[in-house]
Amino acid sequence: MNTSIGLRSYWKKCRQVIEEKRALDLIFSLMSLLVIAILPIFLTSAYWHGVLVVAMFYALAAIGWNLLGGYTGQFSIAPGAFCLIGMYSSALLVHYWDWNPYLGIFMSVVSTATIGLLLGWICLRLRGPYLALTTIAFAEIIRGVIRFSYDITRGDLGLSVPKLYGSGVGHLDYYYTFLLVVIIVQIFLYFLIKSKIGLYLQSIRDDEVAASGRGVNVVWWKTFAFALSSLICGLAGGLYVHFIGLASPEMGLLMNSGLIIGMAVIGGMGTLAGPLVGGLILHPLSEYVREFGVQHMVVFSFLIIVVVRFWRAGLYGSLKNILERLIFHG
Amino acid sequence: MDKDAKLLEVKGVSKRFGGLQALRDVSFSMDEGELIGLIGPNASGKTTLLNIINGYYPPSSGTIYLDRHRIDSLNPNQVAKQGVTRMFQATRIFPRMSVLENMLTIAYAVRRIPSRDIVQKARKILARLSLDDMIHEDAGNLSGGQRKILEFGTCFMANPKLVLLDEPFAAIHPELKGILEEFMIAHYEEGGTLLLVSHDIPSVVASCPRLIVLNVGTIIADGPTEEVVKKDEVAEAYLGGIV
Repeated sequence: MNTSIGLRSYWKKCRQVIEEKRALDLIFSLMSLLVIAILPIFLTSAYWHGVLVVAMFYALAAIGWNLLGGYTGQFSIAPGAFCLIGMYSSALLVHYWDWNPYLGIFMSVVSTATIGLLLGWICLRLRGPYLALTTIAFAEIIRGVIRFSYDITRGDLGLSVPKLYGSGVGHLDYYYTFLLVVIIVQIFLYFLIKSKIGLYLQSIRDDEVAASGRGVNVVWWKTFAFALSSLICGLAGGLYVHFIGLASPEMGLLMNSGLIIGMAVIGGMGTLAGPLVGGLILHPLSEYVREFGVQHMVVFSFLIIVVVRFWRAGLYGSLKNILERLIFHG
Repeated sequence: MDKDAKLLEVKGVSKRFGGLQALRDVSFSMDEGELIGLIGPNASGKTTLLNIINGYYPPSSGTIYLDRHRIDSLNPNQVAKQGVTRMFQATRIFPRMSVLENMLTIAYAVRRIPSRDIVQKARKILARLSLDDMIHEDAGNLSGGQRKILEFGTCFMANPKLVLLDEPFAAIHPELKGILEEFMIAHYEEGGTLLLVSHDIPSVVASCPRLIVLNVGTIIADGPTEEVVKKDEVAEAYLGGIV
């Protein structure tokens, strides 16, 4: 009897916590990351550790894009370009001036935030296809400049850079570094989205005209979202380049931006956990099917069509809807 | 403060959209604590006038003062921060945000009440509007009438100096309309200032002590409601003999 009352009051307390809409997102995100944290105990293959590092890189980029596309409603098609800028910002400084890679990564963050701010300002009055086309044009300019500045960037050959933890080290150091960064970014975004800034961003997504009439400085907060989203993509790029040891313009291909956006959409746009789930499931899955000689992009594209057709809210988004119904409506 | 200073002063405002003259030399003023009904046939310029006061359109000529501060060159968000809130004719809410979040957004953005009081105030208003049991529901899941009530409620979240209501009673259930009317009158009786645009003439006449009538972008009558409705041209052309 007492146990049952105790359980009931505990469940009531849990419901009160979850009632705050985004708490479910954070709980699910942290649980997913906990699974990733203990996975190496069971999964000992260095190859799969590497695959998961790349998955976390994509997840981080998708999380960054989601802030702009999912929470603020600005459909940029340039996350890959910002990863590219992040990669080269650090790569050039480390390659030519022997900067410490950590300082290089810091500069990746600074440079992408600055360029994101500039792009945000350019795109202020653009919406829908106009915004999408402008960001595509921006991405192509960045990739083109890097490809054709052969004397500095070595063009398509790529620029070799030292790894963060030196050569000959397994992937586990990188694995936990990426994991830590993703956890910090997720917790930061959780508090940001549940703060008044999160309310402003989401109000712009839902109705820019109404948001402005209700006192939200649309110009400022859209630019802020562009800068912060770019910063996260830049951070992902800066970390990634010191994991693979090579900066290559390939990252700026539209296909890569499509992959990043696709991961956010398949996972669940406008949710905290969605892009994380998208990145952590889709990249390993595409690597898995590659073993069978299947073109991973075919599987990926097929998945996008299925999810968009049947689960518009995305994998996590749909699960969240079910969980909310179970928790709040019995 | 100057005793004669008006809360809102609209002076010689005109608005032209290409070849269309939407407003022509519109002038009127509002004292603090007034409830004014703004009526007129379709395309008479009522919503355009609200859009200009609200900062969505700059006037082609003329000036607008709120509390002696010129506001006709401000953006909508700056006008909102000065204390002007607005309910739109076509309901505008944030559908993917909860009912409570819809209420909080304006209060945080305009910064006119202390942060610590905001949630409590939102809950109080939602309770008065019978939306308190839907506080965590996504606003997009509300019915059309409930959405309208929610948007109405947001207007009162941040101690507004002036509330602009554009067709608040259109297409809602009489019971919900009663809730809105009651709330609006209570706000007026507490000293609030409201400008009500509505085609629901009986409601406007019953609740507004002063009436302004617009026709083809020009004010054709402005005065106490009982006097304005007696004017032949107003009664015949715009009130259809209802009063």
